[in-house]
Amino acid sequence: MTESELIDRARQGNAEAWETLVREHQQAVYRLAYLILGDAHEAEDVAQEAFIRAFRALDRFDSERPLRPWLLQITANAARNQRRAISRYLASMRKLVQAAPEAAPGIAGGSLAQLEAEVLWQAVRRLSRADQEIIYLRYFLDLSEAETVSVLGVAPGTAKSRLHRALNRLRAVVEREFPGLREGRYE
Amino acid sequence: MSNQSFEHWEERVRSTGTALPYPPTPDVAGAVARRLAVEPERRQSRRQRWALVAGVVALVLAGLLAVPPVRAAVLEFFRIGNVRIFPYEPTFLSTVPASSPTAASPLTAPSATASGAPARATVRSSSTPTPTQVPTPTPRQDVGISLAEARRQVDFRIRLPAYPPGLGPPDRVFVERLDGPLLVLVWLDKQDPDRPRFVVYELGSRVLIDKYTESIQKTRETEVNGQRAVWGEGPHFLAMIRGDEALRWRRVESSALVWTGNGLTYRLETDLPFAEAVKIAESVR
Repeated sequence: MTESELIDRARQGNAEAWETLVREHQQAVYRLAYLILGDAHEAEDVAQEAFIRAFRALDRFDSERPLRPWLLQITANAARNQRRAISRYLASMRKLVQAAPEAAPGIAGGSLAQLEAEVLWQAVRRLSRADQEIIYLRYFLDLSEAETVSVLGVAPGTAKSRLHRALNRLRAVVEREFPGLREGRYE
Repeated sequence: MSNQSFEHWEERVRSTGTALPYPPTPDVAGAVARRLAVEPERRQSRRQRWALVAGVVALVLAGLLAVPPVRAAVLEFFRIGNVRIFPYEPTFLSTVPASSPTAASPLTAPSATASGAPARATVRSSSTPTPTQVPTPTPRQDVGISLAEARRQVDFRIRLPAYPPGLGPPDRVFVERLDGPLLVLVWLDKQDPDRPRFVVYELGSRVLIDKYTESIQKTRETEVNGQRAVWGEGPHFLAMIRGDEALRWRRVESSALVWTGNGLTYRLETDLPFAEAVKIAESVR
């Protein structure tokens, strides 16, 4: 069954069809949420939220279009909302009150490539929210140019120039603050 | 940067970025299927939706709802002007620092030592610069600015309440820079100058505030000068939004009335009863 057929069935209330679609896209959705939020539990909740919202908005979705970019748009939106939600604030207050040390981000074990990726991720997080998201989509999640354009909802030329500028800004950050990453010198 | 070296950099970012280790993808499909089975349709009417939210919260608090509450994501909110009102479960009541007299000040963070810290701590790695430290003095010490200066700083016409009779100008005026200017007007209690009598917020068009209320049942729709308004009792949290972040959080003990008018959103924070609050709000013209 094609994706549009599954979407049509889901739209009519077929739960299995939607579940199939969720399975197909849950990894990409989860990973984008994880990149934006930096927390596995929150990413899981936001991923669920994204699929719930998408399901309820299926009427407005043209089933001829690919589903993933639309799902990722919803995900980025939900993740951004989550960033400023009260649960985050309360969790941090609780940590302050309980004087619990914040868990250090784990760069333990793993290959050199993974280590570099973690460091690059830190560098990316120095950029603006918009720059971060475009870099996550195109280079971390490895979406195609067309898919990236689709998620952003802008003209291809606009997406390309935004990407170009984001990469340049990332390079400036890396050269300034992560010199080891510049030419793969973590050895 | 030459074209060639740009392409080289681009490829480097891609090959490095795609190597990032992720936590294992959880069974989102199963969880979504279970949640949709419980709550398949979204109710359309706002009133029904509001009742649904209140009902869900009540059931969750009573431990009756089989589906566990979503840890993080917020499903519903009610919007009035530029204020979004979310219900939430007060699971942290005992651990949030108790409000001190200074917490009554409209510009103090809930905990003096942690002022600014919560905003930093909520975002583990952020590209935004550290939020400015929030001043924590009492209203008496923090004198704010003059009304004339405030008029220069905001991009809308400042209107003042004319009730109660003989009210006079505000005792303190502050302008906070969010995505636009937020004007804060404080009238102090003459008997106790550390306690505000009431506070009026005037939100410029781009300003956004999120309110989280523990007592959604004590929130109701009303009217101010014929415009839709919302009155909420009991303690709540405010998140001052700037960009994508909650720049600052405040825990507010008193009640609040939110309404729109003159193309702006207004908020009145007070311990006065509802009827008085409405009179004050209706006099802001």
